[in-house]
Amino acid sequence: MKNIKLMAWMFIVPALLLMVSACASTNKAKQSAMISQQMYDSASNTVVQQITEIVKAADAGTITGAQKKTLADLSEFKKVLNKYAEAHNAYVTALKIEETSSTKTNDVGKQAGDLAALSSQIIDYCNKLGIKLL
Amino acid sequence: MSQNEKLKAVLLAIAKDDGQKAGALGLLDALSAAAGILATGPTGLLVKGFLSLAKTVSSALKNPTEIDKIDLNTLFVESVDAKLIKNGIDDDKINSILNA
Repeated sequence: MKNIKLMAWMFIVPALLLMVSACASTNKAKQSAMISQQMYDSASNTVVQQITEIVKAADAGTITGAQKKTLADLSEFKKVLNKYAEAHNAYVTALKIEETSSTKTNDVGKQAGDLAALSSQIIDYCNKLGIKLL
Repeated sequence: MSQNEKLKAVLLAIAKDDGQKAGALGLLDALSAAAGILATGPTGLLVKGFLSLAKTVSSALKNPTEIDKIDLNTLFVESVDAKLIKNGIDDDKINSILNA
């Protein structure tokens, strides 16, 4: 009987650990998505605000040369942010699929890699434009 | 190497790995670790930004049950173009200013 119990624990404990670890992975993946969302919203809202202000200045005929140069930089940054938004949404979609499907894929990991690559570009632009994240 | 360069190096390492090994766990750990590195570094605007992010991470880690309740549908984001259109601004408008 003791042996049967021992055998059972040998299977149950690793299985429980695997379950806990799987939950932790999902939680961390969700947290990554939360951080990514906050970082993106912070940067994109700043860019939208700055572009809007410069466009208003242009409409009022008071745009300066410096503002025009900033608008050109923001316009380039906007393209990276749009790509990031697409990658972020693909990451969240992959998470949704993983959450509802029993089949595990590498999609979440691949999308996380894409986000990491784009994040470094965002940091470059934030440095260049002096944009504060959060 | 500046703090931002350290952060970039961590992020690029994950990107080069194509996420297959590091994946989401790596991304979170990298951001948290980067914030930790930055915490001892010189303060700057971006540094403060990532420190704020680190606080969010640690707070979420303390409440794993709360994370389970997060609806993934609330984590999607809107493109910059979509946000700008709400303000009546599109690429044509921006280009017309740049080309004027």
